[in-house]
Amino acid sequence: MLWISILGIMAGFQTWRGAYVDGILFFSLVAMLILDRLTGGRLIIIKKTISAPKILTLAVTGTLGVVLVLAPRHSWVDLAVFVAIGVTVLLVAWEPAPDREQRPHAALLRSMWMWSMLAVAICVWEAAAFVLSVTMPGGNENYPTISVLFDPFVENVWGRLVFVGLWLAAGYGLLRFWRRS
Amino acid sequence: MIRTIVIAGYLVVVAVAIFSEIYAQRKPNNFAPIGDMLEHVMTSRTTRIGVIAAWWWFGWHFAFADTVQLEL
Repeated sequence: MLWISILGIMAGFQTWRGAYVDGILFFSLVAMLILDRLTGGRLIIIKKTISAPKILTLAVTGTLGVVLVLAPRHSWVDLAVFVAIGVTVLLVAWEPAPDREQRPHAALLRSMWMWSMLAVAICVWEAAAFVLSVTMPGGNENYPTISVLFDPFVENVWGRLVFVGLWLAAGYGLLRFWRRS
Repeated sequence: MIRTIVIAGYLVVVAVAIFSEIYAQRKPNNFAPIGDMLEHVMTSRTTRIGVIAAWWWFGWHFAFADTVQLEL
């Protein structure tokens, strides 16, 4: 329920700040997860588990990365690649992973609390900066959000190369492709 | 001055995150490294979708979406 609430808050915040596409995406996810809960986890998107040889996955991810770096920012090509990645990861992530608890439960709990608090802290700080940037004199100059600080960096092709590389590597790690055959 | 404080706020969170992970790598049975923690929590479909959605949105928001300027 916590994650559904977090995604719900995110959907509401994005809609309030005028990022309607982001709002719709998060509301859709919330609806899917609520439906999944109501049906007792029986909501099936695809029947067959998606799997591919590591070399193929790496090649496709690399190609998408190159396109994201080289395509003009905010272009249709950029949009198509993000949508393709989003749909693919949603399909892959829908299938739950087996639990392999490698550490003592107390250590996992401490880690969960710490990282949750850090995530909440940066979200609250960012949201406060955003609200202050649109209500106080000085706006973005005095109260820069992370996007305002990141914008000049990702506008540059080398900056985008670093960002896209790290982002794809993180996604790869999250989906545990590295550990799959 | 205000700008510096705002940026310092972001950097403090990043610094705490880095130190937490360094500590976790040294004492993994006391404070689990982020990889082990994520592997454990992502067993649940809801958490998995939540974490993956957050990751995807991070890329979408910073690399693709235009910065929205709200008029209040």
